[in-house]
This record gives sequence, C-alpha cells and structure tokens, in this order.
Amino acid sequence: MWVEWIIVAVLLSLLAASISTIRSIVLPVRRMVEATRRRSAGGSAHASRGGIKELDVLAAAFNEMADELAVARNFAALQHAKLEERVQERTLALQCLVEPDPLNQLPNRRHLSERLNIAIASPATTGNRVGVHFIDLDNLKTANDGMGHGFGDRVLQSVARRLADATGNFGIAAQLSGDEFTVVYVGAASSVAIVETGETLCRAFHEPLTVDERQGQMGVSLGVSVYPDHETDADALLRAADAALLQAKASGRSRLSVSSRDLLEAAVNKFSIEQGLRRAVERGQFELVFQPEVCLGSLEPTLVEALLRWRTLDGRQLASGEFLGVAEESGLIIDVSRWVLRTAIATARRRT
Amino acid sequence: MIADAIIGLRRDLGLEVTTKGIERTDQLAILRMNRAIHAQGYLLCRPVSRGEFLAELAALPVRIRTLLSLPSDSAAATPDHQNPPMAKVVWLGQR
Repeated sequence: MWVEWIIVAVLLSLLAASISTIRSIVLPVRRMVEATRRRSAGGSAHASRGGIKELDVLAAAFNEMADELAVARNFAALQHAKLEERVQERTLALQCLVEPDPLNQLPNRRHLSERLNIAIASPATTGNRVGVHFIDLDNLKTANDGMGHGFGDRVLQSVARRLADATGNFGIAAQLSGDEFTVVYVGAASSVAIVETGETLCRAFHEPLTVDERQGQMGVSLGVSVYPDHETDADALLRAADAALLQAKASGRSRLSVSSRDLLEAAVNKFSIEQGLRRAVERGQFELVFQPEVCLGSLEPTLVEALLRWRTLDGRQLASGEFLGVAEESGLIIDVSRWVLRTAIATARRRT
Repeated sequence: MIADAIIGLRRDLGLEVTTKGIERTDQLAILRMNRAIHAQGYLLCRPVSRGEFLAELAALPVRIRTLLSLPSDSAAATPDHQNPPMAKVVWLGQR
C-alpha cells in the first residue's frame, strides 16, 4: 500500500515536470519557429517572450535581429528606388545622344562632340589621326528664298543622305546647325588621307542633287582640321575646322581649306580688330599723318598724301594696311572713309 | 631696269609718275636724272602729324638740295617757289 502511494507520487511529479518542460521549453521554441516563418514570409515577426531564462534571452535576441532586418530591408528598398531613378536618367541621356536629328537622321552637335572626344581618347586611334571636316552649303539661302523652307528642308535631307553615303564606313556625319554639317574621319592613316577625303566629299556634290524631281547644283565649302596636328581636344578641333571653313568661303566657295595655326590666330586677331574698329571713330582714335610728294624738277612739293593711322587703346599705332581689310569686310569702311575724307578736306582747307 | 621701263612708258603715254619708298640718296640721284618724276619716301620726308607738317614742307626743298649736293642759291631762280602746292584731295582708297 505504501509502495503504491510512492509510485503514484513519482508519476505525478514526473507529469508535472514534463508539463513544466513543455511550457518553458517546447512552447517558446515553437513560437520562435513560427515567428521565423512569418519573418521569412515578409511579415512583422516578434516572438513572444517567456519560458526558461535561456530561451527568453534567445527570444529577445531574435526580436532584436528582426528589428535590424526590417531597417535593413527599408534601406535596401530606398537604395533600389534611387538606383532605378539614376538608371532612368542615364537612359534618357543616352537616348538623347543616340537619337538623330528628326529631319535628316544625322546625329546632332552634342552627339558629335562626345563621339569626337571618344575617337580622340580611344587607344585604337593612338598614333592615328582624326580629321574634322566642317561643311557649309554655298547656296542654301537661294534655295530657301526661291522655293520656301519646306523645299530647303528637303534639300538638307538630300545633302545629309549624300554626305552619309560619301562618308561610308570611315567616319561620322553630323549636322551642327541649319546648313552646317560635319564629318569626322576616325583613325585616318595620315593628314594627307584626311584632306583627300575632304576632296572626295567636295566632289560628291559636283553631281546635281534631285529634290522634288528638280535637279540643282549644291556647292559645298569645306574646312579641315586634323588631330593631333592642329588641336588636341574636340571643341578646339571644331573651332579650327570652322576657321578653315571661313577661309575656304572667303577664297571663293566650293573649295576646301585646311586649318593652320596662322589661320586660327588670324581669325582671333580679325575679331579683336573688328571689335576695336567699331569704337575707334567715336573714341577719336584715328589720326591722319601727311607725307608730301616732290617734283624732282622743281624740287617743290606737288601733292600731299594723307595716311590713316589708328592709335589703339594699348598705345600701338597701326598703319591702315593692318586693319583696312577687316574694315572692308565688316562694312565699317564706310564710316572710316567718311572720317578720312572729312578730316583731309578740313586740313587742306586750312592750308590754303 | 623696271624703273627705267616704267619711266619710259610715262614718257610714251604722257603720264605722271610718282616713285614711292625712296630711302637712299643713290635712288634719289638716279631718279633726279628725269626731272618730270615725282618722288616720295622716308628719305625726303616721313609721314608727320598736321602740327609738324607745315614746317616740314617749308624745309623740304632745302633738304633735297642738300641730299643731291646742289647749290642752295639756285632755289631763288625756281619760279615754282612762288606757287605753293595746290591743296587737292586725291582719294587713293579702293572705294
């Protein structure tokens, strides 16, 4: 009888022990497993605390980890959105670069400048030359004025096609503005090859263009600059080619002119002379000097020549030969002539 | 030789010739052989401002005589001396 009671008591205590084990160990573990599942499914996951001390510490650590995970996830989402935005921006920029002029399917100025820089920087062209051809139509204005701008646009398209054909696979043809085109010759063997290509482009326009079933002659003038002979960056190359183009047009259109340092300096010099000349008359910077002619028979002066001098702001005295060319081109010669005649006549009147 | 040819042409066509840019006495002496020629150059007179000009003009005949080693008294015999150069404006510009 005694023994039986003892057995029951032991069994009961075993039962109590197992129940307490279940409450303090199994349940907390099960809750944590559930929380982990919820966590990985993306929900918020906090494990309820409780159970024996070690498990309670574990639950607290788990919760801490879950919180950190949530912060990290938010941060990642933000970064992702930012990245997405940047990709979109970059895509737009690239599209802008790649997309050609809607009128004639040629790349635009920005595109050209970028590709020119790439051509210069690319290791494949090291030691090779890059040619920039600046092309200007000689008589587009006549076409525009006579036939309207719609016709002018179709002329431009036709020019663009011919340029693209003539350029073939050696370079890039682009349209910079209205009637200005550029062809970049990438990886040329020599500057001679570049100039010869320019001549080929020029010749391509000896054949008449057909627009709206009309045939017309379209002359082009060409300015050429060569990397690295003339300049070493894209913008300077374009400027040099532009200066050469002006020279080609000045020497009678439908021709080609190659850049040189002198040409560029002359262009810059010309510009500053013109700027100064504009104000020279108002500022009283002109003066006349006089030089007599003598008859060798009588040894008497027979005529007095009045010579024009320009005293510039920096104190130099320029003879007329140094600025009359610019004065004539810019139309300022009219003002200059008027001043000279008036002053010479006034001086002569006082003399007699 | 070219100068000779042009001076000859002047005589044949009856034109006035002005030689410019005379800088040396020997050039002046050669040209002086033909009395109908007009001359201009730094040797005779540099371009000068209006203020200095009249004085330069007055001194000119004497200077040329000196350059050509001519006696200065013959100046008085030159009738042209009474007629100062006529003021006239010749436009040498291109337009």
